[in-house]
Order: sequence, then structure tokens, then C-alpha cells
Amino acid sequence: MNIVDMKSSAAPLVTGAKWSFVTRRVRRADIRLLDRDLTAATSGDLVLAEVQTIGNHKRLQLSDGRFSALYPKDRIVLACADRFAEDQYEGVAALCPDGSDLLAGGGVIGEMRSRHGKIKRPTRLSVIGRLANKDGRVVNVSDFGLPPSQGPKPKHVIGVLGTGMNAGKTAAAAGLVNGFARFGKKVSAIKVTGTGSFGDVQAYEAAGAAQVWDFTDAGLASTYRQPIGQLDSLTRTLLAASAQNDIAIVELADGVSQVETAKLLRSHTYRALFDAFVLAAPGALAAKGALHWLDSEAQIKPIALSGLMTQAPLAVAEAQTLGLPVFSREELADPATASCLIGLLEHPAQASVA
Amino acid sequence: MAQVYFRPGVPGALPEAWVIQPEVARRAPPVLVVHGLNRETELMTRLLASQADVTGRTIVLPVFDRTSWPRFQRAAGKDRADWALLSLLEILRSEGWIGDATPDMSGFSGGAQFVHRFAWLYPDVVGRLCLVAPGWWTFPDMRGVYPYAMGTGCPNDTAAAFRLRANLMRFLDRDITVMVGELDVQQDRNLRQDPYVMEQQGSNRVVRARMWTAAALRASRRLGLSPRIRFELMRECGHGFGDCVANGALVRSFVPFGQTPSRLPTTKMHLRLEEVA
Repeated sequence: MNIVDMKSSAAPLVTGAKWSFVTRRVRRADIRLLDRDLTAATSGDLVLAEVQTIGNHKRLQLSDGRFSALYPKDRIVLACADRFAEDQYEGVAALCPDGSDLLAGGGVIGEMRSRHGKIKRPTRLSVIGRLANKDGRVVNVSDFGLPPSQGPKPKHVIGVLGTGMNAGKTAAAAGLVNGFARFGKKVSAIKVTGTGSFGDVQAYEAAGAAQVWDFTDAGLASTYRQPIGQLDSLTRTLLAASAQNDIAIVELADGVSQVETAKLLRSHTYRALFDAFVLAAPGALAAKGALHWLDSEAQIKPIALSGLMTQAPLAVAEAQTLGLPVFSREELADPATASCLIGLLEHPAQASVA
Repeated sequence: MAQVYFRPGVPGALPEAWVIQPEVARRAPPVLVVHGLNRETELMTRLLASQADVTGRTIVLPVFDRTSWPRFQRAAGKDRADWALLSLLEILRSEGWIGDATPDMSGFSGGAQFVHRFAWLYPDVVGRLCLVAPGWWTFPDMRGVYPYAMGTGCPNDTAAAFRLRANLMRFLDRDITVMVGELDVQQDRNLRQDPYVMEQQGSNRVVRARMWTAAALRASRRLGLSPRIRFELMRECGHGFGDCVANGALVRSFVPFGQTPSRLPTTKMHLRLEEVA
């Protein structure tokens, strides 16, 4: 019979560890013990791991917004979570005594299921244990999320959707943020789905958002495979936290047909949170397909197109045949565009005139 | 007695501005007055100061200097005078020169060009308009590409054209006074005379003002609005601000009595350069 002490002091091992972005809301003083029962791991659990071999991710996004190069034997604090990224990994929230994978540079650890053909194997991690409080209860990032709220939201809410990863959603969202901010509006920028990463929130901050939130503020390290009700709830919570702003720009990750995004958009109560949507696409045909999906599956007609395709005049010309205005990031960042969009939000009948 | 203040600017970022404060402020929104291509803001300030007292309204005259905003009249042209004016309004509000109420806007010559384009781009930012003798206009129809009209010609135009079309109803749904001197029929060097404009808009400022007014009335009715657009020909006036003030009673329309309450400014922090009798 093996007798294993499942709980031991975490302090000596956590000291000097690198805390990743997705753990930034965790109150570190709560961390007292180490729980070595990896089989019980669930999404959001705080994990202490040591770098075995460097793979795809060579840097870790730290909780203070900096990158830190990774070295073998580095000790890092992460959150166990799922990952959905077409151009990187799909992975699940599971820990293995033989080692686990760094699924995302924002600090997500789990077990890779598949990877893009051009992506290296994940950086490999030895799992030291899950971090627990003084009572031995494993700490989860959800313990430090904003409390659920269904309070009032900003006067206007614009959703930014995409045809898939790297369609230009964040650039479009940042453009909108900048345009409305320069138009004199207080803007909240929110990323409601995806995998925790500081890239998006930093892009929103740089664009002039008065307030920036993402799903990690609501206690999730990743939204993949999370219950739709929870994602609906976190969106309402983050909108309520933005209520003192004039407008919220809300980005949904991945493409409109991605599992969670699709379920959210099909829900009329969820759609009702938004006044309008902007669709980002890398090309006109992708935009056309997404517009068709949105119309047939979710009864959504975006007010404008944007995304990577706006870098290519030929693609723009083709997209203009779809009957919607096409705005580059720079045009979205123009307060004159914000003025126009505010008008369309407040006087929707005028959209048909335009 | 109205007092005139000079608010320094930042070249390329923030226009200088003359601010005329009435001796007794009424709860009326301020009036933004935009100069023409010759930028004679000191003359305009002198001629408008007494009207600040008559109406109780603060008058702001931004100065789009030739270096930073050489083609300010295009509003959303390369030098983005529209962005500069948004910045100025924000600063003037934060410093207490003007309140939060929506200002009315008046422009003379190139200033009227700027004003109608600015109001069209930002219809919720300004109230009543007084457009006096612009050299050429952006027309509220599709018979040309921006900046001549709202039509689209090449991919680079489409965002601008869409904004104009989307804003058209809100732009036209306001009091707009179009004025021009009856003698302002000279084809002077500041009058745009390329063949396209001559054909689209007419040969002089009087014809152009009439044509634009007619186009704006048509567009308003097409959109189901009850137009509040008025055309006035100033008798015995040519193309000079002083002339129009002296002979055409321009000031009454340029700085009219206010209609809506305004939050009055609370502080005066800048150097007073001049007192106007």
C-alpha cells in the first residue's frame, strides 16, 4: 500500500515562480498548500508546474502584462483549462502525472488533443500540484471573478464577430474603441469568449478604452467547453461592470460557427444584449458565408464589415457588393465613423436610407 | 460689455481660438463661428462682439492656421480639421469656456464649406447652422463622388460616402440658413472654377447657394422631413464679411438668439487680451 501525503506546504515551491496572465486576479496570500491529486483537476484550478522542455510557447504572459522567456526548470503558476485554437491547439482541462502541455501563452495548462500542422509540439510541463488554500481546498480562478450581476449595461453595445481566428476581430474592436473614445464617448472593451491572453486587452487599452474586461475577470481561464448559461451570465456581468460607460465594444472569439459562439448567437436573449454587430473577415467570400450563417442561424444582420480583407483593395471592392459598408481599422478609428454609427444605433430606420 | 479672450492652440493639434463672453450670459448654447480662407478672425471677432451681449451667447472663433490646416474647409480632408475642432470643443468644455449644450455653428465663405461638412459628419455635435457664401458645396444627392456629393466612385471613397448617406437625415433635420450677397457673383480666385464644379454647382456663389438649398430641400422632403432650410439673398452685398455685416444685417443670423438651455461655463482661466466696446 502506498501512502502519499496529498497536501503539503506550497510556499517553498511557489516562491520565485512566474505567475501567468490568467492568474492575475488571484490573491496570492491565499495560497498555502499543494494538492497532488491531479485526477480531480477541473477547469480553472490553479496549478504549479515546472518547465520540462521548451516547445511552441517560448514565452509566458505574466500577470503584470509582461512577457517572460521560459527556461527549463522554470516554475510557473497556471490555470488548468480547455483550449480551442484552430491555428494552434485543441486541448482539454486535464492534468497528467507524467507531464502536461502549455496550451496557451496566457497560462493555460492541459492536455493537447490536436495541433495545427505548422505548429510545434507544446512546451512540456511537469505538474508539481494544484495550489490550495489553508483549508486544503484547491484554489480556482473562479474564486476571484467578479460576482455575477444582471445590472444595467451601457447605453450602446456593439458586438464584433469574425469568420474565424485571425479574421481581424481584435483590430476591428480596437478601431471601434479608438473611434468612439475620440468622439468623446467613454468606452468599455470586453472580450467575452476565448482563451486567456493579454494581447487583446492590451490592444483595447492602447486604443483608449476607459475600461477593459475579459472572461478572466469573470473567473474563467478559457471559455471552450463551458456551459452556455455561464457564458451568457459572464457577458451580463461584464456589461454590468461597464455600466458607467457610454458604449461597450464586445468581441466574441473565433468564428461565428464555433461551438460556443454559435450557441450564444442563436440565443435571442443573448442577441438582445447587443444593439448591433460588426463582422470581421479575411476575404469577401468568407464574409459572404458568415453573413449567410448569421442570417439563417441567428437572424443577425451586421451593420458593417471589417477585418483583414480591408488591407486588400480588391477584396474590399468585392466585399462592397455584399451591401454593407466596409471599414478598415483606420476608418473605424475615425470619430466621424463613430458619429455615423451612433446615429445608426439611435435611429436604426436611417440605416435603410444609407 | 462683451469680453474677448484668446485661447492659445497647439500647432497641428489644437486650433487657437477667440472666445467672446457676453457681459450677461443667458442660458443659451454657444455659437461656433468659422472663418473663410483669408482667416480674418480678428475682424470677425470685432464685428461680432456686440452681438454676444445682445444675445447673451458665448461666441467661439477657432483659427485654422494656414500651416497646420491649409485646406480646413474640406473638414475631413488630409489635414483633418474636423478632428482639430472636436479636440477644441473638448478642451473648451473641460476648461469651462463653454458648457455641454450643443453649439450652433456659423461659417463664412470657406468657413461655411467647413461648417456644412462638419455638421454632416457630426450631426449630433452641432445645432443650428448659418452657411454664408461658400465657394462650393457637398451636395445631398448621388450625382457625384465625395466631396462633391454622396455618391461612390472608387473603393477609397466608400467609407466617406456611407457616412454622409447614413447621417443625411440627422444633418438636414435642423434649422439651416443659407445666405449669400446678391453681388457675390464674381469669379474671384477663391472661387473653385474647375469644369466639374462649374457644371455641377453653377458659375458663382449665388447660383451655387440656390442650387444647394434646392437640393437640400428636395432631400429633406424625400426623407419625410419638414424642411427648416431658409435661403436669404443679402441686398447690396458682395463677398466680404464686413460688407455683409454692414449692409446685409448678417450678424442677426450669424449669431441668433439661442433656443435651448445651456450649462454655463464655470471658470475663466486664460489671458484676456482685449476688451471690446
